[in-house]
Amino acid sequence: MGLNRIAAMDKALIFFLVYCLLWPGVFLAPDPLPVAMHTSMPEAFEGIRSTEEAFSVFDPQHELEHPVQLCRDADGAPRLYYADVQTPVCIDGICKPVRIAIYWNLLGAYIGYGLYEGDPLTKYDHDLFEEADYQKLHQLLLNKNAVFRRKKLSDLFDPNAEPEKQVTYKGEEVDAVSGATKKAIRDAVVEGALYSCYTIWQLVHGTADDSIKVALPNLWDEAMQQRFLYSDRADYQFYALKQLRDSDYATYSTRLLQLFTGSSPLFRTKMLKQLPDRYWAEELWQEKLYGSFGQLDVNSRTLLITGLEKAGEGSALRLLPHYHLMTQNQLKAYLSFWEDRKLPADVANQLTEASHNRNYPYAYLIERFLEVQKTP
Amino acid sequence: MKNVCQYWIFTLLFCSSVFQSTAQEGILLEAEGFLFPGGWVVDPQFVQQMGSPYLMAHGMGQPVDPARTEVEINESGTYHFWARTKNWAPGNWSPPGQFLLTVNDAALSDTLGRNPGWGWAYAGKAKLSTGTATLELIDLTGFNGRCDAIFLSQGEVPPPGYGKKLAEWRRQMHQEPLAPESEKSYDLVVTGGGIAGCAAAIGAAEQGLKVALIHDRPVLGGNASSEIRVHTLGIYGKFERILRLLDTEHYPNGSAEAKKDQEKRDKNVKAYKNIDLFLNWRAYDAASEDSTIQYVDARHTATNERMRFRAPLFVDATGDGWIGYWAGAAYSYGRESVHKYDEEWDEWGELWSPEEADNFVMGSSILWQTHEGEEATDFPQQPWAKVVARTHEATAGEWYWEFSRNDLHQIEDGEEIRDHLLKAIYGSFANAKALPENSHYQLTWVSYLLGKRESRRLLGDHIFTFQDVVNNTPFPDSVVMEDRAVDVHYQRNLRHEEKPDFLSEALFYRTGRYYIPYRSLYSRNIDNLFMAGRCFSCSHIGLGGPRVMRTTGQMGAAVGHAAALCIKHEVKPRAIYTDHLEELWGLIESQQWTRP
Repeated sequence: MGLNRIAAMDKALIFFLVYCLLWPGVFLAPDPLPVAMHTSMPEAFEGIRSTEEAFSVFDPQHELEHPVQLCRDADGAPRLYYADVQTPVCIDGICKPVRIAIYWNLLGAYIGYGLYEGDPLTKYDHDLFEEADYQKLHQLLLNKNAVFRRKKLSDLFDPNAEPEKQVTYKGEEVDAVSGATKKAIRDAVVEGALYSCYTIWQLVHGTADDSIKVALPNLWDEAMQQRFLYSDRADYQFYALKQLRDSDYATYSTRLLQLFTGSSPLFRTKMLKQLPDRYWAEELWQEKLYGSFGQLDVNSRTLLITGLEKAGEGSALRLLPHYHLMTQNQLKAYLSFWEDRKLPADVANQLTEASHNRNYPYAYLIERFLEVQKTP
Repeated sequence: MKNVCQYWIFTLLFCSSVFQSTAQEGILLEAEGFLFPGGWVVDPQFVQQMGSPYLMAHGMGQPVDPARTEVEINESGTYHFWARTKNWAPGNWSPPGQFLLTVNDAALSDTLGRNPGWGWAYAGKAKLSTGTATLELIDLTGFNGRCDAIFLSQGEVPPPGYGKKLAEWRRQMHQEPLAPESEKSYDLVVTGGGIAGCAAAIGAAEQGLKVALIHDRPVLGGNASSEIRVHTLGIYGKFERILRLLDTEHYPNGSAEAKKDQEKRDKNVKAYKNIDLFLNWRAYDAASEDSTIQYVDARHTATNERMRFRAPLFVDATGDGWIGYWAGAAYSYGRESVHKYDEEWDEWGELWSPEEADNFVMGSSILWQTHEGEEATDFPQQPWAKVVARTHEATAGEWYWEFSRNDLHQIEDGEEIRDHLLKAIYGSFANAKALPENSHYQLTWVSYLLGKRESRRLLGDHIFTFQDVVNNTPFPDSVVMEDRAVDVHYQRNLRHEEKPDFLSEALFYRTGRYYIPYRSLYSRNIDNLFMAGRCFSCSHIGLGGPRVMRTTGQMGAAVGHAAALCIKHEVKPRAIYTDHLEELWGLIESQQWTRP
């Protein structure tokens, strides 16, 4: 190899590297994703820089494998999965190709789909999908318990087929949950595109979900913990909550306590059930948890009351002004906390006042409690 | 009627012999023993919690006919009257269950049903002459006023209000000896006349055993009865012939069609000459010695007559596992940690099975029914119902009207759960009735009996779990089989706080055929106790599939046959598995097409 030629290659390499520095996208995203036409999680698409093949989903209907790509951002953090799916949709032996990009989040939930330029979706009669049809398809795909679940293609197309497990009594359908009717299927799918809807739904809700879930623990790191916890998605928050180690409660205390009041009862009760003992004893946690008692759902309140043994008298005092929100059993549990303790004078006074509250239906239980307390 | 008369005579003798000599001690009248209950119903569901069956004015908003009784007065004078009652919806409104007590047709001064929590409420005083006095309970609302007992005394001191003191006082007033007045002996005593209990009784009776079937309602079937009206689901397994005598058509839950199947069931069970049927008898105790149950004690829900049932073998088909509980059988309650039996289903995670064990089990239901009448009718909103129903509107109920909460125990807090569902029904119906299109709807039926899904589970040699379902595990002793999906419920407001707290969602895990071994149908530590029905040996998730009534019926029929072999070989239930399994199989196979 001559020196000139090497010099020429160096120049080309330097030029290429400069080009790449100026336009990193060219180098790192050789095959940009198609636009997500419909997505329930737009933030997952921000800053995707690279893709790598993660696994395949198998379509038993057509015996095709579709590779699924894991997409990462500029920091190398996993953001979503996608599959470029090309599949035949066949009716009466006549097949037409459909190409569509399917997106899942890191928990395996479908989050949207995209189309490739020049490959719009069409109906049975070759009419193009309209915007409302695309919306309807997205809604159908979002529903993992849609009417197609556990349906075979033949169930949908055989005009004589009865809906699965349809139960009737004297000609009336009895169980709304027992099986999908043809009407329910018609209502759920894009008119004139039943076959396409069925095929795409089966791909979306096939084996990808499981594969993605299995992969997640191996991808999990501190950055993902943080991203999930700070996500607006309830499923991400809940997953992150379940992964917390003892020390994480201190690291993420601000966010966790914010989620505690702002999230669902399911999140709250899970958090309280798994909260390590030492945080129950910390002033910051006590203040935020017990201070929010009045805003919480009934089941979370129960767990706070039963947690008093770990949280102590200070927290029990914090709850005292909220006694009128307690159910009968919550009040009983609250009073039993004080049962074996020497009742501080201010607690006794407040309880005495509460026992006279005619607007609180269980005031009589406080009265009985105080009677027993007085008995030597 | 015979029993009522007997009780009346007993009461008169009792009152005259005990109390009339010292009238200061007073007279205690149990409301469920009133001679003529009128439109009031006897509710024995919560005896273990509040002390006694009681009368309830379940009129769905229309006041019911008065309940009436008579009492013999031996000493004339001024008597003070108290009623043991409660305001079942305490709050800042007029209590829903108000009623009056009349004495010789004159109402006493104080309206009853206003005190929060069960206790003695003062009704007023009346001058009584010697002779017969007539007492009546006058319902004022039709909204579930309730009266446990009436106490009258020339003294001014009410009886003890609650707890052990009340129970002790009551025993003294009734002068009850420790043991019941009478005793009977059988080959097998089955407690609980739901589908499982009935099938157990039939299975054993067909094999020649003399069986007592004790049930605390006037009709058989439990959740499938015309009083609760859940249709039976599941397959028949090896017991189609027996279960067809007992099951229901697949009518909508809550349908009045349940009455036809009720007639069929009652007639079929009564046709067995060697089944002694004790309807309206509720068991209240079981005693064991050396891990063996000696007897079950039961009390008539209206007359309070008591009976001791002795047998070498017992079946707990009470649903709540009462017999096992009293006898000291090992049991579980609540949701196990998902890790305990490896019961994870990733798709639903915490809603399916929690990481940390808790007591948040599936809830209980109250079914109800409406119809569209000829004329428009009103059903005004009640403030105590509105707080539960909020804006929810409904003109019909279904299985998903279900209530569970993590501070409520499905047995201990049954009355509160039932009452919450009544508020939900009345409130949701009133919301719907406010719409013009619903003006012709009328309530035709609202159950007052809780249809429970889950409570105590007695532990056997095998605990049936989700793994047995997932793996379709075949056991050498698979006496029960089922194809039905595992069906576990959660409350909707857990995921969406704004949803009504009385509606549930079902999660279905579908699988192939799975099997329940005989070893899940007898107690691991009480050696003469079988169990059938939802109190069989299983985990929370394990219960999800086979808790329906054809499946529980299979359990009952299986233990009925096993009991017959126990008697034949003079052995305990476990020995059927270890020593006589082939014979049990033979018996089960051969019974399929025999005729009783």
